[in-house]
Amino acid sequence: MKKQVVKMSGKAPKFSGGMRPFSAAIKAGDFIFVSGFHGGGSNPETGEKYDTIEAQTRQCLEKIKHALEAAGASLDDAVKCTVFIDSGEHFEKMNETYREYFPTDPPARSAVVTQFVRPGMMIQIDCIAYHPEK
Amino acid sequence: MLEFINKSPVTPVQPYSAAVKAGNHVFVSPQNGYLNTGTNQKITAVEDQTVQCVENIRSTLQAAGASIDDVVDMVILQRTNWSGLNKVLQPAIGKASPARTHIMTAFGNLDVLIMIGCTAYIPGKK
Repeated sequence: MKKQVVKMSGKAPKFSGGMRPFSAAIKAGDFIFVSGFHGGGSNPETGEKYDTIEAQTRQCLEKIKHALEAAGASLDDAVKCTVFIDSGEHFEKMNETYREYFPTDPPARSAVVTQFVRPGMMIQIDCIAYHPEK
Repeated sequence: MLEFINKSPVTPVQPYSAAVKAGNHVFVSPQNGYLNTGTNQKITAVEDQTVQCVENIRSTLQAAGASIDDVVDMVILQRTNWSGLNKVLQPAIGKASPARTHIMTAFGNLDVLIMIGCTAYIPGKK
């Protein structure tokens, strides 16, 4: 089976088209590769800015959850995440929110402190999931 | 069975492989692009380094029996915020539209402005 771009719907981030040479998620065999989602921006309904590490972590993981569900999988299938964070001082608060999404058997993880290409971004998380068809 | 890909023009001198093939997946180490692999001349512009990174990925994937079209995930590490990335990357990778992680970081080698790594999936064969 060839690789497939995961079709996103609803409020999911749409990356295809235009000058963005990447997809939100790709299914390749039994694995799903999810792009690094950032947690910046604001709530489209209330206009409230995501300006805390907790809110941004939640946004990242909600987007990953949505992408995995669009691929027929779920957060339970996550095998490896990479967390990029703007400051070591945010690390514990990120973990508190992160733990809510992976209460048991959390995926393998790497976490690094880095900078981002857009202002206001505090965190970016990407994910690889394993979801065999059979 | 694992296959270690080190016959491409970008064989690392450090203790890692340019790529490792594991079943249908090929894991390509992040490639820098500060040296033209043909002429061995230094490349100083980030645009040109980006194209060279993709060329290094292309030759590494080819050595593994894959192509740029098979790329499913890409990690882009860049030293400075540079807004023209997508314009340069789009023609370089063609129709491949992988999942992507994109961050800024520092590198040990100060000539390096950008590094790109990827994972490819070769359909059909086990």
